[in-house]
Amino acid sequence: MTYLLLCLGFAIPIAIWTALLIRAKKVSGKVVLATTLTLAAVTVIGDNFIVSSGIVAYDESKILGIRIINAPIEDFFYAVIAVLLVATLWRQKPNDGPRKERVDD
Amino acid sequence: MNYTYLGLLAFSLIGTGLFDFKWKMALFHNPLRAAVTLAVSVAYFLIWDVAGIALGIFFTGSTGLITGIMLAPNLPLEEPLFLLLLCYCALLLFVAFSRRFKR
Repeated sequence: MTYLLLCLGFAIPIAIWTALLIRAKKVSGKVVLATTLTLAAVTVIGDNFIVSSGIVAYDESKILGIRIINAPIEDFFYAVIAVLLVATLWRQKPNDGPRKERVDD
Repeated sequence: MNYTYLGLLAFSLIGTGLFDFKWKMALFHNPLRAAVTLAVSVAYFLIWDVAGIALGIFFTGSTGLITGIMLAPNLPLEEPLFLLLLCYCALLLFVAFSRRFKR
């Protein structure tokens, strides 16, 4: 449970912040969803490489024990929150390009 | 000292950067905004990681693929680079989908 609680502690504030920005139409929920699903799929491959090769190891008593192949399911919080973090930060000002290049990207 | 993981991370980061450069997506589109986005994101994950290490949840395993250079106990040099890769990929995917859904 420890790992899950740790992840929730870091994830919930970012999730709330993201939800607020989506509601204010500053961030597209559809884009966030598509990005999250894609990065989660990539994470299945990447995270399993890191775990299976022994680059990182876990205390079995502190994780749920649910694994996607070898990767603890809690690891996927990182992929989801990475998307939410970059999306919400990217959508902040300042925009430092010249006026004509200020594409709402 | 093994450079496999470090080499893979460097290769991936450079590759990701090339996509960014070619399509002018983030660092090559709005450098300040990209730098702040990535710096804050990586910092957030580093704090998260350090907390996880301090709680004994995860730690360096028995692997021959890392350099062995530790920034802190159980925090290898490769970790911030991995976090950077994660955030950079997330950012480029986000920009890619943003552009795609606007067309």
